[in-house]
Amino acid sequence: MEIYNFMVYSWLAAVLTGLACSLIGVIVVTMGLSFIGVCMSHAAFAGALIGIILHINPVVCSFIFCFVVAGILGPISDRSEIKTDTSLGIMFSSSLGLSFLFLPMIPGSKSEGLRFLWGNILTVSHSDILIVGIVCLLVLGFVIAFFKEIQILIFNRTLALASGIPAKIIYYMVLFLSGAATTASIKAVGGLLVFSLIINPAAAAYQLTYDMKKLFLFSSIFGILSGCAGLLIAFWLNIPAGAPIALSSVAIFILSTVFSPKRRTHAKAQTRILQ
Amino acid sequence: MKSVIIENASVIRGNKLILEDISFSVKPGECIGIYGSNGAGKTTLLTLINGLLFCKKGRVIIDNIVLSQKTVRQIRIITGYVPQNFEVDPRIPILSKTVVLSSCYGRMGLFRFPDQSMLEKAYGLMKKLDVENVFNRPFGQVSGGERQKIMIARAMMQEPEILLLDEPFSSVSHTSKEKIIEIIKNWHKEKGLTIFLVSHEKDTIEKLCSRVFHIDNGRITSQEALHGNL
Repeated sequence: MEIYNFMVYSWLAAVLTGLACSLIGVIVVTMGLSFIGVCMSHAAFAGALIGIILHINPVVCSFIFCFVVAGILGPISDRSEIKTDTSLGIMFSSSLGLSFLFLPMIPGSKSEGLRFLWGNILTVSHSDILIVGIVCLLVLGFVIAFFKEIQILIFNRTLALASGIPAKIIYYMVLFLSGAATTASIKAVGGLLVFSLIINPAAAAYQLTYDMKKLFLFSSIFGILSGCAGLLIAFWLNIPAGAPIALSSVAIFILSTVFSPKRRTHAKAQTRILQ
Repeated sequence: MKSVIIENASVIRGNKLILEDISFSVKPGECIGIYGSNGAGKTTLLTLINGLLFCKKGRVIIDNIVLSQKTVRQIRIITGYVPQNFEVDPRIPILSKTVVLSSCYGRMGLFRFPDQSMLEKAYGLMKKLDVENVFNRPFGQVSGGERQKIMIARAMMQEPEILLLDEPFSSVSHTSKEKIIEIIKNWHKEKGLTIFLVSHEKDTIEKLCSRVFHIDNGRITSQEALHGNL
């Protein structure tokens, strides 16, 4: 029965983390916020380390730390004279610095801390599945509820505001949900590799279509496929699942680029122009 | 039809005074031209009206509603905005029809999506402006002139009561420009909307507007009535 549970939890974690990360990935990649995956994963890692040091639930601390980072990122981008990627860089370096500061402070073995850096999908518990399931539902609900608003926000934030859309609130929700998706996935995929599930499926879907609905659909399929393929490879080779999940998403991206109809259309158009 | 009153408005960006003590009153249904050189403050003045920018001093009153953080959304929903030609990433996954439809998204609310009648209306407006051939094309892959026509179709789709036009003809051909001016004139005759047109081309303003504000260095230096227009 226990072996059965561990198998079910692993597959559920692969599907749910793949879905949550790939959905939020479409928004952050098309908004030019790809770096947020790296920033949030390191924030989640720093939060988990604080939790371990203070003997508080590391996942809860990760969520709090990610939400603090998201809460700082928004106003920094809005009020200061710097671009969003620069503010992401500042927050990333702060999180990384704090991680390096906290890691040596863990008493005794550092393995509990490093578990959050590498992740292990085979050790996820019932409560981990519950957390990632809730986050997945939140992200899915957000995409469905705000689908048309997200489109115009991706297109032009000023025009979104001018049309009476609460662009700032939606933008901040994107930041918070990126943090939530990253934190929920960190135990399964690990802080170092979670951003591959955020960026790669969305980037692969981006090679195939300009239609936002299809973009979300393809990215979700690729995210789930990356998680499941990675898990299969991990079982087969008896290795931790984080790396095969990340590499599966890279392989899907390469295949999408090779078979990209966009690329072929552009090549044909260029040949026609030159003739 | 909405009136627009600006009282003693000043706008500061960084340590630079962009607009200084601007005051005017526009009756419902008037068409106002805003004329001046580059950097005079024309676009800033326009964005004060739809609350994309708030004045540091003074106030903006639209149809007896003072523009504030609380009232800005209700003003934006009734205000059409055609921005200056802006940079667009050619890879952006947004289709031209979505851009046209998006002007109605603010008042539609959650879980409501454009229906067939809205799609047909958007297609009709794009056809009127000769850009129906790019209806399903990514917005980033259409020409500058087509983009401006799409943005005008977008504003028309919203059915606004105030229309803000910021250099709307800078990339369109002369023939297209004449045609669009006629479309806007007919639209104004039909709906009676209040129009603000920013341009550095005097002849464009003369063709469309009934009054023109000359703006220089953040101040309205003079205004003149133009007869025989809207």
